[in-house]
Amino acid sequence: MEFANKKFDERVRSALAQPARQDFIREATSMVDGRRRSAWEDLPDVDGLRSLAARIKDHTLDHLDHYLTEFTESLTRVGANVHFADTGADAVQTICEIGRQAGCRTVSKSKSMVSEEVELNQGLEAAGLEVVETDLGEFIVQIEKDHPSHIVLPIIHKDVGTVARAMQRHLNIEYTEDEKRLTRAAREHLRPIFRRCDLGISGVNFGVAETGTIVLVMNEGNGRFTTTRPRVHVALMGVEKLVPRLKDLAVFAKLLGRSGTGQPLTVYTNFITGPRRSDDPDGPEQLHVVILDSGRTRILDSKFRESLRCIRCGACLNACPVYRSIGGHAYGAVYPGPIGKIVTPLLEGLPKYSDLPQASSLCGGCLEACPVKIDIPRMLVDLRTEAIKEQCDDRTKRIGMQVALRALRLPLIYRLGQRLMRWALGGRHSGGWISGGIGPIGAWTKASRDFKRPASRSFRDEWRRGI
Amino acid sequence: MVDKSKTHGEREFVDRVRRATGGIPPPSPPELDESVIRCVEPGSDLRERFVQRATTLGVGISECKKDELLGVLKQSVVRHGQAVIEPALVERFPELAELGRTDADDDVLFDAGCGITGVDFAIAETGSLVVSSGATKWRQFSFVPPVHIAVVEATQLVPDLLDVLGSYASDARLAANFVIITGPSRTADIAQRLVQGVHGPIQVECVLID
Repeated sequence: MEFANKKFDERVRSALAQPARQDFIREATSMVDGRRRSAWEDLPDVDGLRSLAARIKDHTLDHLDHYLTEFTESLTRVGANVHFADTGADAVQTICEIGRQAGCRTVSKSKSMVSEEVELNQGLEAAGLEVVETDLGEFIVQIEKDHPSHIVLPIIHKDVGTVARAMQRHLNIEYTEDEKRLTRAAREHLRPIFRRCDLGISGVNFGVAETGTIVLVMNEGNGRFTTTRPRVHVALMGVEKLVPRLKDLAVFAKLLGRSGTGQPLTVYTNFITGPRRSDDPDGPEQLHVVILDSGRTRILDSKFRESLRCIRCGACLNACPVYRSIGGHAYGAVYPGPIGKIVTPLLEGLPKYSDLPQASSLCGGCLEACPVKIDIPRMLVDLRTEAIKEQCDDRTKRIGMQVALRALRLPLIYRLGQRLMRWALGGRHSGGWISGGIGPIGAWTKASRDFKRPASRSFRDEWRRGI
Repeated sequence: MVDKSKTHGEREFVDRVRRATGGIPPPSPPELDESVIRCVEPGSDLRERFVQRATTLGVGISECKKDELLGVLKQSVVRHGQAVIEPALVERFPELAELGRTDADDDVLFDAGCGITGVDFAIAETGSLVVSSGATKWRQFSFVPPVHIAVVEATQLVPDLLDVLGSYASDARLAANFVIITGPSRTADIAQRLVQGVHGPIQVECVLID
């Protein structure tokens, strides 16, 4: 992804340099977070429901081989084609091949994070297909050649003026900041696409092992067009999306809508079991389910297994003080926010994304907001440990840490060190913040830490004098 | 089509998952404790709750007797324009046949002012309508026209989402598609401002009959 080229702290700095954008991201996330909180309140026992959801997901993940086999058999029984993709590139290739064999030209695509992950659109376009994102937010992302910055609110980083200008340019309409008129314009623009599209591509929110049903939740209705109108429907899903039983959806549907947008249920909870039956008047002739690994079995086989419980509701993003301040693009990854700080390094490699787990105060807001109780703070600490282990060949850091370890064990040395530190840092500050330091300390304070100027007397000194 | 060549890929894929999990046969999945899932108990006033919830979502509710149904729907068709009507509903209420086309090519469908369907269930908990596909049930009638009109009979009201899923789960053969519809289509993608009516219906109306 292009914005991954910059370093994390550079991306953060440029995000922080846009206070107006920061303000409306903060306002929007606080509002959606508030909606989640009040929507949770009308459940009889939200904590019990979250625990049950976590148990169902854990059970499924612990026996994923079993449920995957059952799901595959069920899908085959109901007439769907099942494909297995080891990597993102495999998934793209498989989907292009399905489109080619069926002679498809125009793709209606409903919102799917996993399709962003495998960079599906680029692949489809290279294969000569016309791809149209039909979710309103994703449509604007597409015409702006941008990236979604949130899992469920893709254009949370755009104010209404930006959206209005983009639509004016692309749809050739009069400039308006009236969200209703903008939405109607998108409706009119996409109707002909829905009418002529011959390939529908969606993600999958849940796959039901016992029935071979794929479940999609959405609000705008483009997903119903995408999964009904075209001759061929392809659903791309991560292998972790399975649940054992149809009834499990009572648990997850109640949590997902509430946690994502504060709705008791999203407008459409769509259950698809195979392609159209021989006597059905409409529906796709072919249904293909593409099941993706791309690093997921590696996560399954690690102490980060519980991160695969994630139902992609985005609640942890809205609750996170870091996300609220820097927005989604600063993470430089498809999955931003707290859950992104876990899955991005795990899927894409820790060395490239070792900064992400550091970008947290471990306040625990994400855990409290998570409908499936993923212990994100615990995993952030574990990832930091792994990142440090991988950096052990950094000699300066190792020696520094060993010096610190000794100093912290000996009170006398510690006190002496404190005094030395105050002297070394005392003169180099601007506005109460350290602006530089000697040797590696300088690099540390400049590059990765905002460091307050030390007080002129230590706490110990004050204590001895009797505060 | 590509299936034959895929069996090898499938075996490798499942084997990889099995190595990661250890391949222990699963005990039964966690019990679904209704006391934490169920929001509406059977026996409560379902009609009142349904009407209240659906109204909050922006669904227009009218209530009538069986023999008034044609009259009520006629008024809606006059208001919204050309109707398409689900064959399954006409089988149930033959007098409705005069309201509109029961089959539709794309021109008719995309020009229609409203789509009239029955439902499998209506959920009191959330004010939702549940529609499914079948030989006499078009999926598109409930989402292509700008207005969706659903006819709900009192016996189709159920308390909770749990009841709907329980009922489908015991079906020997599930319909290829069933959809739980909770209000008119909506979005808040633009600056988090709520707009009713995106690609699906702009309006949803529900006629409740005794």
